[in-house]
Amino acid sequence: MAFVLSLFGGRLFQLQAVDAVNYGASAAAARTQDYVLTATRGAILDSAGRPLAESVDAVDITADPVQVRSLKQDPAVYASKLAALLGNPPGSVDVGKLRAKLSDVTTRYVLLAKQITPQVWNQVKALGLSGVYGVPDAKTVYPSGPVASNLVGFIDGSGKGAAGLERAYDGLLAGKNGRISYQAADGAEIPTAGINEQAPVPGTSIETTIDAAIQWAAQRTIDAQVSASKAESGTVVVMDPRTGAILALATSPSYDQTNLSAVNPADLGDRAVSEVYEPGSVAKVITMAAAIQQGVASPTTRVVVPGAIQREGTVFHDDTAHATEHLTLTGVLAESSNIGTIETTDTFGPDRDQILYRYLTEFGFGRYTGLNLPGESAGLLAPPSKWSGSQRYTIPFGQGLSVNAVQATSVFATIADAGARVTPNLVKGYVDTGGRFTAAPAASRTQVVSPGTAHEVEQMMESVVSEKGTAPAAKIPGYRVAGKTGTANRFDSRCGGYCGYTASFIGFAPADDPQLVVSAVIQDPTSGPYFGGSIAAPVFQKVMSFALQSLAIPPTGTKPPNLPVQW
Amino acid sequence: MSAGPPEGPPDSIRGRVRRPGRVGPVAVIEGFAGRRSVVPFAILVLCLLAAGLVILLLLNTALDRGAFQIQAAQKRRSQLTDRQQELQLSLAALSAPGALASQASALGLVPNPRPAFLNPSSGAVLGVPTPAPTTAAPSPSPSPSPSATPSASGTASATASPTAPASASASASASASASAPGARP
Repeated sequence: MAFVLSLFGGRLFQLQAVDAVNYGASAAAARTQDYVLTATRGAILDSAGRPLAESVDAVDITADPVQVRSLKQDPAVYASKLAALLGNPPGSVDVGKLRAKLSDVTTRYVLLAKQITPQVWNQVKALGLSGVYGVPDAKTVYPSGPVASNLVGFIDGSGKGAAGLERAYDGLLAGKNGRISYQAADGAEIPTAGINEQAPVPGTSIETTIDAAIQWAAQRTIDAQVSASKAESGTVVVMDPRTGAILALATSPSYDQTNLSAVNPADLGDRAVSEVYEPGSVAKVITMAAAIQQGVASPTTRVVVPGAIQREGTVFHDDTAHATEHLTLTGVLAESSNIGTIETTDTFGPDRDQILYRYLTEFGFGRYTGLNLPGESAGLLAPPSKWSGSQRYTIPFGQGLSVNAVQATSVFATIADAGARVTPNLVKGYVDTGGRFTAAPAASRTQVVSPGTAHEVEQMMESVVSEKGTAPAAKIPGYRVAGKTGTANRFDSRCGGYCGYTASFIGFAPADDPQLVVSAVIQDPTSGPYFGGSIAAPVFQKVMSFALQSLAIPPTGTKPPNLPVQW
Repeated sequence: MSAGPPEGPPDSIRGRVRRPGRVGPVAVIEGFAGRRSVVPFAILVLCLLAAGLVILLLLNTALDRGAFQIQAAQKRRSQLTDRQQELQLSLAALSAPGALASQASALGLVPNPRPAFLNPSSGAVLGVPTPAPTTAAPSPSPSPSPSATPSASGTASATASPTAPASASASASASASASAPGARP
């Protein structure tokens, strides 16, 4: 007897004295309810402060089938009542599925509907269905439609930014989740037991430099041209040369963030920074700027252009066969002569390759643009020591190196901004929850060529957009437009070499007071013409004329210089 | 009593001095309260108690009414917030460039490929004003706007004269009006 009692006593001692702390802790844990308070995600705004992507309140509807059964409720009635309110349009949801979920008593949690609007949730609440709950779950909406989807990106199922700006600025946009914990019995809070709440910190909104209207026009125009030319893809970049601000960054094919299941994964990134291509003749602008800045040529320098020349065992031709021509340096650019460009670099002297490399680098080739978008490629620009024999002569006309569309656009912005290169930028500033705006740090500015050189190159580029040049289709009547076409052989890994073309046109207007730079790049057009002047210049023309009207930029009313192209 | 008679001490003192041994009067007070009824006092206490209860009740009711008002106001606020969010979203959808463009083309407006401006102060025409092509706008691509309606511009006649507010809203973003005075001040 005494032995049994001492056993009991021992057990009592064990429970009360030795294990008490553990039991107490597990009891406290069992009655403590711990919830994450999700922070409201910041919005992505356009330059006017209108939302491109915005987080709004939404509610997930969940249910506890076990509770529904224990309350002797009929899951079928629940299902039909809920089905009348859920779905888009209301009533379109599958009643059978709802009933099956509500009848599944093996679980105490089923998700009936995800991210419904607060209005619908209020209606559901008014039904008074016990065992049906609403859990706040903010959702991201795109009020302007999918105008800049490749740039804005989207949010994955776990609420993290998965592409575009949503990913690049995820940390800032997401804010900081809070949490709340309290003691509860049977799901109800125990009064006076104390609540431990840590409020969530809402995310910061990002105000971009994107102009939604221009972005829309650019997207629409490039979509139309890509489908007309049966091209693989296309991009349009619109930039303000004075500030480096990107006003539009459109790529085609694009996608709709609200229907991600139908997306080709190849279309998710932003080709304007992720896709690199050989720029072709648009790079001649750098060669010309280098020649003028080095003092070895001027826009009227006379160049004798034979039908073909041989360098390092390779014979170079121009795009169209011709007899010996007498072109000025302006004419070499206007007619986009490869031979004339190679001959111009011959005058650079013994440091030719280093000079070329220096200008290519200073104009931004081979370096990241600074836009901080995910998936950016800085392109390929080998140092001169690694240039092969023929590469030394193709680089001046833009083959044998690769760039992305923003890098190429930035070259023209530099010429347009009197030779000063402003780092391209996409974020104007940050808006906190109180609506306070903090401007992003100013973009850095470096003088690449002198204002005089830039002015002369600008005048030469105006002749490209003349009847004598390669891109009369880029003309906007009344405006002075400067630009350059590019029709490059396209390196394609699928055929292991060059097949197909990259057609491009980059230009700015008004040429004597540049306020906008627009670039249009079309990859692998397979139907109809493939020249930059035929398919990219019209895209430039449409987007530029839209943007000039949208931003109310009148023509300057001055006369173009009409530099001589022949002698 | 500073002007009292100087011949002796006051009566009271004299009295006490005169009758030091008398302690009898205690008995007189005895029985004074014992004979009184307890009822009035009980009624008084009960009344006080009842009054207290009524006041407490009124106080509670007032407080509760305040709580109910707060609750109703909070509910209303949350409804209005939801409504504001809903309206802001639909406003944003309506003012999206794609929606504006489809509205504009439904009114018979077409994009102008040749921008021109009129300076209202000098009357100078900047650019080369040209009538915009009245045939269907080159828009073979589906409009990215989710709410886009099929364009009616194909059948719109050139005589369609959009009303002032329509052209203002269209030119704000769609730049569909050829003569939109866009000169900057």
